[in-house]
Amino acid sequence: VAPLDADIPEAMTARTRRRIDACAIALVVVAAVLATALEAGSPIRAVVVLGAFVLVPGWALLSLGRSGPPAAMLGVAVGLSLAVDVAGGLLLVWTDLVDIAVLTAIVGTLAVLLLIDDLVRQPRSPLTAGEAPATARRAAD
Amino acid sequence: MATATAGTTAEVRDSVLSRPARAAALALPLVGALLAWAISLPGIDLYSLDDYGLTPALPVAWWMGLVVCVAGTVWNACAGSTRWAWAYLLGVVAVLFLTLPVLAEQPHYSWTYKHIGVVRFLGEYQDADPGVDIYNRWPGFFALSALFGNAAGLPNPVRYAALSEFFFTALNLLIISNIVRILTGSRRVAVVAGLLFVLFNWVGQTYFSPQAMTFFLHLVILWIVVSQLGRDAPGPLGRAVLRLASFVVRRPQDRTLPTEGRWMAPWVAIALVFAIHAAIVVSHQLTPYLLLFEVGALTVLGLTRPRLLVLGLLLLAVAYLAPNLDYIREHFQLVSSADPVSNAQRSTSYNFEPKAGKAFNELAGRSLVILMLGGAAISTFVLARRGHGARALALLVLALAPFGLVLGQNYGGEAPLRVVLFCSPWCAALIAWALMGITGRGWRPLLLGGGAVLASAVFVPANFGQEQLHSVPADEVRASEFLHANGRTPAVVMLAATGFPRRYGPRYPEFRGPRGEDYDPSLLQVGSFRHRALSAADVPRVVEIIEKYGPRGYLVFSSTQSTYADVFRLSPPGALDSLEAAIAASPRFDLWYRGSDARIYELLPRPPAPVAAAPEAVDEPATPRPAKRRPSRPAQAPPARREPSAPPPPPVIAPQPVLPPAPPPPPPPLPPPPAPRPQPPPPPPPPPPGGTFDDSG
Repeated sequence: VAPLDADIPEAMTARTRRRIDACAIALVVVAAVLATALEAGSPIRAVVVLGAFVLVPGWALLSLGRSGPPAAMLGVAVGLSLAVDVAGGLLLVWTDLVDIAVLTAIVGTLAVLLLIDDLVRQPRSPLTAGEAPATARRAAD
Repeated sequence: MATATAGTTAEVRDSVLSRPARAAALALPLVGALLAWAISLPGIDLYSLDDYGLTPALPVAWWMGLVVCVAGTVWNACAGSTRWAWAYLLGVVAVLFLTLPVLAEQPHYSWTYKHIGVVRFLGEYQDADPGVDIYNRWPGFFALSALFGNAAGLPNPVRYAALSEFFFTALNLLIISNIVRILTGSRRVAVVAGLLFVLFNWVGQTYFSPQAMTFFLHLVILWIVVSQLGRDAPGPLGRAVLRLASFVVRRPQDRTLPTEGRWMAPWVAIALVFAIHAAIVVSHQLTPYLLLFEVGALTVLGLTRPRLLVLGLLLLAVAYLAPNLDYIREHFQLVSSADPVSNAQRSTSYNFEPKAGKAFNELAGRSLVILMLGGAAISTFVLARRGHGARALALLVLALAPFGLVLGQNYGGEAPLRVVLFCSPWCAALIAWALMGITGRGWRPLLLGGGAVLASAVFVPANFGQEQLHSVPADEVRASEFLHANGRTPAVVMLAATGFPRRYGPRYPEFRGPRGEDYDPSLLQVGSFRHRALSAADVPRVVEIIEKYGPRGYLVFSSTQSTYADVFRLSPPGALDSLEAAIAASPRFDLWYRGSDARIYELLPRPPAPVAAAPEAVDEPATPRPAKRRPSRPAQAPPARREPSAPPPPPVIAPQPVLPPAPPPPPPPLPPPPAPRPQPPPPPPPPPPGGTFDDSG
């Protein structure tokens, strides 16, 4: 049998995860500011909101679990984000319960809370921040 | 072994060049290729193509940009520089899928606009109405787009829909490469598989549509199933298949499956699968079942677990289908045929003796499919000879499972396209793995590079060869917008031929006429209008067809429709022009909109009958759907005529028919034709000329 490369991707470090958490929080905040400050049709607003839509909800949910390889986590986060967005859209067109602005505000706030929780949970020690997988602390818990 | 080889290559290269110099040497061809591509774009005229489409109109610099990006991907992958290989691969995606958005702001494919219309409808009324169409019954993608459009300040997706192919292709690559890397254990194979996936996937299904999103979501589920829920060895049936493979190729087969990359708890993985599957189920009719074929096949062979996962996925899909079953039975077919050969036939307008260019483009598409399937078959044998049994089996099963679709459905003649879409990632992975395992010096880049460049050369005519029909002029989009904004309703929009961006506005449900069953009528759908000269004698028949849908209607002529009729030889040259001239001269029609590429004629009401008649049932307003928050519309102003005095273009006017006095208001069914006219011989029943039209998305 021919040997395999056995090039299995490694889980992301706690430092990387913290950085992505921070970026996601910033994305939500900037998207909220742009959505209120810029007029409709602005390309900058569209790009930032698109980033928030396709990344933040899924990443926030994934932050409840262990860390995986960055590329895999990114892909799953986008897929999960789209699923959450679909659910939000259906809530909008199937029920009279929510308004679009209220719905996006609720989802954004929940996502930011989850991300802040994950941010403060990740190990910050300079000795371990770059090495220990983000699961270390959770596993210890 | 391969890693060691790559490492040695990298070390040698690093020893010759410093790091910045090496980066510059690797980046320079990519930058040059993208510059050549960008420079080539102003030389492309999208609206003066011949029947070979975009292919002959592409400048040499465009081809150079593509070839350099393809070759750079292969070379860097073979050399072990996977990051640079990814950069070049993104260059390939940009060259292929950003060319059209740069050339035309509005998206191509006239059928994209019906998806845009649904998004605008949901965005404006925030209410999915199952009585409108099938899209309102599977509204997931459209509801998401409406939500995004509101937050982003872009309620009309026409502003960003053109970028959909680039966006979804990039996302697909991300997931496919992850799956391939897990199964083959090689990031180099993963990037080459991504390249081949892009080049094999000529079927154009990543445009702004539900299937583009659900295809990506189905890939995410497959990644979870393969990498997080996979077993460490095949089950009994899988082992039997491997024993058979060992016997055939006379080599022992490796039975281990990858388990090293797991980072999710099984219950988390299963929960994610169901969450994403639910989003697929409410967004697209077909994808859940193709996913079931794939996951089911993996489960039967014991390559994944738990077995009940398939049952859960099936229950979720069926639970959503059940309340919509009557609608599907009434408007479509749950099972079109049990004959797989019949279902695998692609019924398109090509059956209509298209021009040589269209036949060539069709041949290019078929060649690419043969290259893909033949290459995958040979590669499977090669991989079995190398003993990669279990992992290659997983890829082979994923490649074969989509063929289950043709056992019961032709999907409106599109089943072959969907099969190609769903099996292309795994065929690409098999071929990439086999080629990257070649050890002879120089053979690997030669075979891989040559194959990839060849696939690129075939991809371009297969994918871009129909841009003559698919590119929608901006004026036709403006005309459609004007029609949907100002048209008096209820009315039907009747096209001369397929190709106009219809159903574009949020009021599109009001434009199928009070008696209309479908949204997409066109004159050339009627066999008696095809393959003959048209004249004023046909005007009463046109009126009759429109009045089948209701007393009010709009008849649209546009350049895309004329091209469509010409390319597929549905009408002799000038026939539609003659008909339009007769329509313009008819007292029953009024020129209502005139632009550079589109004219819209309004059917005027019949003159009042001398005897007072009972109120017409057909003049009642269309039954309004129960809207929850739908705002009341302002009274429709009389439609403004853009250029009221402009005469219709072609002067080939047949003698104007004198219509007899209108009969009393026509009760349904239709009144007898006002005057006898010669009837053309009934044509043989041809397949619909809708090309890739597909009401189910």
